[in-house]
Amino acid sequence: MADIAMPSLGADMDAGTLVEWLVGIGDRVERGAVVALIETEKATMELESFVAGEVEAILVAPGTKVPVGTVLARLRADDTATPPSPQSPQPSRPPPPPGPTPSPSPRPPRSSPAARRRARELGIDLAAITGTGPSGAIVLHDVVAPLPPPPSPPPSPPQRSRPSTAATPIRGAIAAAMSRSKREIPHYYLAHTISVRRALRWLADNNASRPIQDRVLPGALLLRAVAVALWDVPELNGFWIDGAYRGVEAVHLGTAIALRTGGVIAPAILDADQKSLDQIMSELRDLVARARAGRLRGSELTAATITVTSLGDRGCEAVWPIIAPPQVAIIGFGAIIERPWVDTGQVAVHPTVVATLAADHRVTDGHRGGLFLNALDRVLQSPEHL
Amino acid sequence: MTGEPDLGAEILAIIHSVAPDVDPSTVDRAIPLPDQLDLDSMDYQNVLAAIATRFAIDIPEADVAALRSVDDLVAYVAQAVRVRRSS
Repeated sequence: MADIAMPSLGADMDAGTLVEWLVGIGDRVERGAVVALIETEKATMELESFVAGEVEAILVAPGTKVPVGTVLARLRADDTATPPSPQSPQPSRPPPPPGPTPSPSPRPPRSSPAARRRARELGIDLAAITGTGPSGAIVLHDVVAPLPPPPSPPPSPPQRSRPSTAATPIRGAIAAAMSRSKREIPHYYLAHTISVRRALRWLADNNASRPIQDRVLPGALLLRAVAVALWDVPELNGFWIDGAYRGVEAVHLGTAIALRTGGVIAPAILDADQKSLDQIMSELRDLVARARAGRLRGSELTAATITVTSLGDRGCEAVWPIIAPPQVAIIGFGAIIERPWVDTGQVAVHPTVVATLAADHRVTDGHRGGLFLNALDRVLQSPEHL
Repeated sequence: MTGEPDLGAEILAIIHSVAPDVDPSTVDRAIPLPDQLDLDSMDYQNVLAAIATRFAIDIPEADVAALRSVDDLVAYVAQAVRVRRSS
């Protein structure tokens, strides 16, 4: 017997909503299989089973918000010697009475996070909506379109009022994490402007013979360069927990992705220092696509040991990022911009990027941080080694 | 068979599959997509890659910068498909 419980995906999370079951009673699940979609303040994500077995009971109906630790489903584990679940569920409400289980009801249709949010705001049942998205998925405009006009539209002000900022769950999660960071972490900040002429030329040559599906974007090159430069200053990679620094060997690179529906999330590329540039590009492509579709896994959102935030080609020239606790450093990249650049005594025009580091002064000092940004520069001057 | 209106709708469907959080019905086909829909470089590469796969064409890197709007993409794909068929 094994329980699948609402996981805690961060110190600030105390509850989550079961959005959809992807398995039913009697289904076999493998270890690591996705069994449900859950929605937290941070994002919609996939819930994995940590044991293999057969679904015996489903205890929470879709659309229900439950505290962290609440048992959502019971499995009959394959191996009777299954180790006990690592942490017993948090003190929480007892599971709903095991009466008629809500499970075999038809599964709700697929829907985008924005559509679900809008439907919840408007009190609309998604099951009553016909989706026009891929494979019949319900998308934002499906939720809006069939609505009659609001009963009494405000006379003059623009009718599309924006939701109050505090009302969006993801804003609440960002507010909590960033307030804690600014309250507890003594940040220091460094910046270094790097010529990326060699890196971009190498990338262009490398991409020239590839179909568009396999081309590598500069953003992936910068991520790979960060992972490699961390070999020089590994103490930037790790956590500050309970008053002490805990270094981590593996580099799980959190990559900040701005959501158009509001907010930002930073799923991790695991073991980024052990992966090739092509692997990093392909994982980044996959992460962005799944972030857009609300299909990130909980484990991906909590794994990062250090974070990178890139403003991208439509951003501005530099970012002074805020560390995501309990991490101890974050690296920022501004937009790649052409600047006058002195190269062997001559002024030339180079594409350049401002790399910034915000780091926890309890763990490192400016000198080590500076060595890191210099290592990053050096690595980017030899892109063929990336 | 690949008249331009159909092509445009198909390209909008591809954009929606890459970015399910944007509403294709609001797209102005003459305005650059990255600005209009807040697509970042990764989203846009995913859009172009999906178009290349769907229509079995290649989009050389040198052409990418000129492909900004739905109208650009429709003209480009129509031309590329014609070239592929006649070759």
